Amino acid sequence: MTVTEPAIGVLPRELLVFEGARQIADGDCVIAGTGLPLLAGLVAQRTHAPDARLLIESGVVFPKVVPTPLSVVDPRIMHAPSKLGSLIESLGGFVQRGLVATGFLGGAQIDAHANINSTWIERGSGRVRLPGSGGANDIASHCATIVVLTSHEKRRFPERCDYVTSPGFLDGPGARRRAGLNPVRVKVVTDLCVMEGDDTEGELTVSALMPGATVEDVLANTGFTPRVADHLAVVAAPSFDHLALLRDVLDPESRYFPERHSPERHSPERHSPERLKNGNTHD
Amino acid sequence: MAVGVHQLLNTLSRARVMTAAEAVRAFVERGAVLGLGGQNINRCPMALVHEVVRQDLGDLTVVGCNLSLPLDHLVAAGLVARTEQGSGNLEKFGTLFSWRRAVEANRIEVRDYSHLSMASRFLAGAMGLPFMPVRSLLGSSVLERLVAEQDAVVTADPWSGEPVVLVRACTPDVSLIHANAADADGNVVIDGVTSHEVDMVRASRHVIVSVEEVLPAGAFDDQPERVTISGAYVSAVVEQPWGAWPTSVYRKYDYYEPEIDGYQKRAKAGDEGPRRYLAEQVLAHADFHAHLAATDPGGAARAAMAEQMRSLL
Repeated sequence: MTVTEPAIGVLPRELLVFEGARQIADGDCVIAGTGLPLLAGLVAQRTHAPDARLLIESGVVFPKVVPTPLSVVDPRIMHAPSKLGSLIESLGGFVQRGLVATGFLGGAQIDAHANINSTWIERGSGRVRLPGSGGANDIASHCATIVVLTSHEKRRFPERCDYVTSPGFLDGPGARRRAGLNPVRVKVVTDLCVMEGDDTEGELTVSALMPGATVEDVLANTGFTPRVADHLAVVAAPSFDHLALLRDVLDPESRYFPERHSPERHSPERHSPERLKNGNTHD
Repeated sequence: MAVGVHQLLNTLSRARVMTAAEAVRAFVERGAVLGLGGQNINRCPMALVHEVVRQDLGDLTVVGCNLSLPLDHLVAAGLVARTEQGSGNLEKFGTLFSWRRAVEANRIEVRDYSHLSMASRFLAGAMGLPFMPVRSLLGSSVLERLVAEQDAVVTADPWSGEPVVLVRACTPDVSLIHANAADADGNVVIDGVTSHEVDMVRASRHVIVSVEEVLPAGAFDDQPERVTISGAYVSAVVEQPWGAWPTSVYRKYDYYEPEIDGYQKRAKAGDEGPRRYLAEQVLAHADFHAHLAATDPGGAARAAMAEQMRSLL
C-alpha cells in the first residue's frame, strides 16, 4: 500500500471537505467560515493550491490557521495573518470590492435556484428562527463562485426557500442581472452528490455522485426535481496521505468529526442523513 | 433619527475612569439604543452587560453585527424590546436560544441585515452621514423586509444607473465594548480583529469601554499608533480584568468552552435555565469580581485559558 492510493473508510463528511477543496484553484482568494469550509480551504492550501489565500469575515486577512478554530474570531484563526482588520475590511474591502473569487456558505435550505435560507423556516403554523445572514448575503452577492457543503436531506432542498437570505439565481436565468447583481456559479456538495449551475441555466443540475450513491437516492432526498447531467462523474476519494492530513494535522481532536469515534465508522453500509448533523453557519 | 456631526461634537468630553456600576448608571438609560461590541466568542462585553442586568435597564433596542452571549443574557433578563443585527449565534456553540424563543414568540421585534450592511450603517453614523450605499442585499428577502419597513431604499447609482441599496445610519445612544487596554484619557487599544466596533463606537453618543488594564494618561504618547480608538469618542473607562470572560481576549486569554457550553445547554432547554443562571451568577453578586470569584474559585480556569492563549501566540 502506498500513501497515494485512494483511502478506504473515508467518512461522508470528510469527502465533503475534499470535494470542497477541489473547488479552490491555486492563487484564489477564498472566504470561509469555520467547520468543513475552513478545513476545505486548509486542505487545498496544503495540497494542490499552496498559493490560495484565506479571508475570514471578522477581519482576518490571509491567516496561517492552526488547529482547530471553532469560531471566526478564534485565536487559532488569527494566527500569523497579513492583517487583523475588521468586518468592513473583509466584507467591504475584499468581498464587495470583488477581490474574493470563491465563497463557502452553509444554510438550512437551498432551493432549485440555488438560493440559500439561513434566517426563517416555516414549520406548521409557526416559524423557526435561525441565526440570520451574518456575512452570507454579502458573500453570495459578490463572489464569482459559491460552494455549499451540506448534508443531503429532503427538507434542506425545497423547491423554493421560505426566505431568501443569500441570493443564488433568484427566480432563474437573468434574475441576478435584473436585481443588480453580478453572475454567480454555484456548486453544492452533499453526501449524495454534486449539484451545480450558473446564471444562464438558473437552476441546479446533478453533475456527479458520491461513491455508492445513485440518482434514485438523490431524487428521493431532494424536494425538487433537479436536472441530471448526461454523464455523471463519481467524486474521487482522497489519497491516504490527504486523509491523514485532515485527520491528524488539521483537525487532530476531531472537533468537526465527532462521528469518527462512533462504532458506525467502519460500517460499509450507506450513511444516513442523521449522521451528518453538526453543520455550521457562515458567521 | 440620524445624528449629525454637530451633535457628536457637542458630546465630546473627557473620558472618566469609573466602575462598571457608575458607568452604566451614568450612560445607559431605559429604552436606549444599545450597541454591543465583541463577536461570537471574542471580546464580548460581559462585565458591562452583567451590570445592565443588575440595574434592570429594560426596553432596549440592541444593535450590532454578530450578537452573541451578551444579547442572550439581556433577552433572558427580559430587557430587550428590539434587535437590529447581522446574525445572532455562537457558531459551534449553537444559536442564541433565548433570543430565538423571544423572536419566535414575537416578544421582541427583529430587523435583519447582512454583516456588511450593518457595518455600513455604523460607518455612516461614524462619518455623520444619513445613509450608506451597499451592493449587498439586492434580490433577497432581507431587502424586501427592510424596504417594506422603510429602513432601506433601492435607488440607481447616479453615474452608472446600476441599482444600489441605501441603508440608514445607525447611531447608538450608548455602546459597550471590552478591549485590551486604555489610558486614563480613554484612548483604547484593541489587539486582534475589531469586527464592527471601531465604527460603532465612533457613531455612538456615549461609549463605555471596559478594559483588562487602565494605563496612566499619556501612556501612549510615545507610540500613539498603538491606539485603536481615540479617547475623543469614549465616555467612560472601566478597569475590569477578565471582563470578557468566558469569551476570549486576543493576546490575554482564550475562550472557556465549558462555561459557554454550559450556558448554551441551559439556554437550549428553555427560559428557566438562563433565568436561573442570571439569578445565581449575576444578580447574586455585587459586581463582576464577585461573579468571577464564585464561578472560578481560585482562578484555575482563568490561569489555564491565559496559558492557552500564550501557547497560541
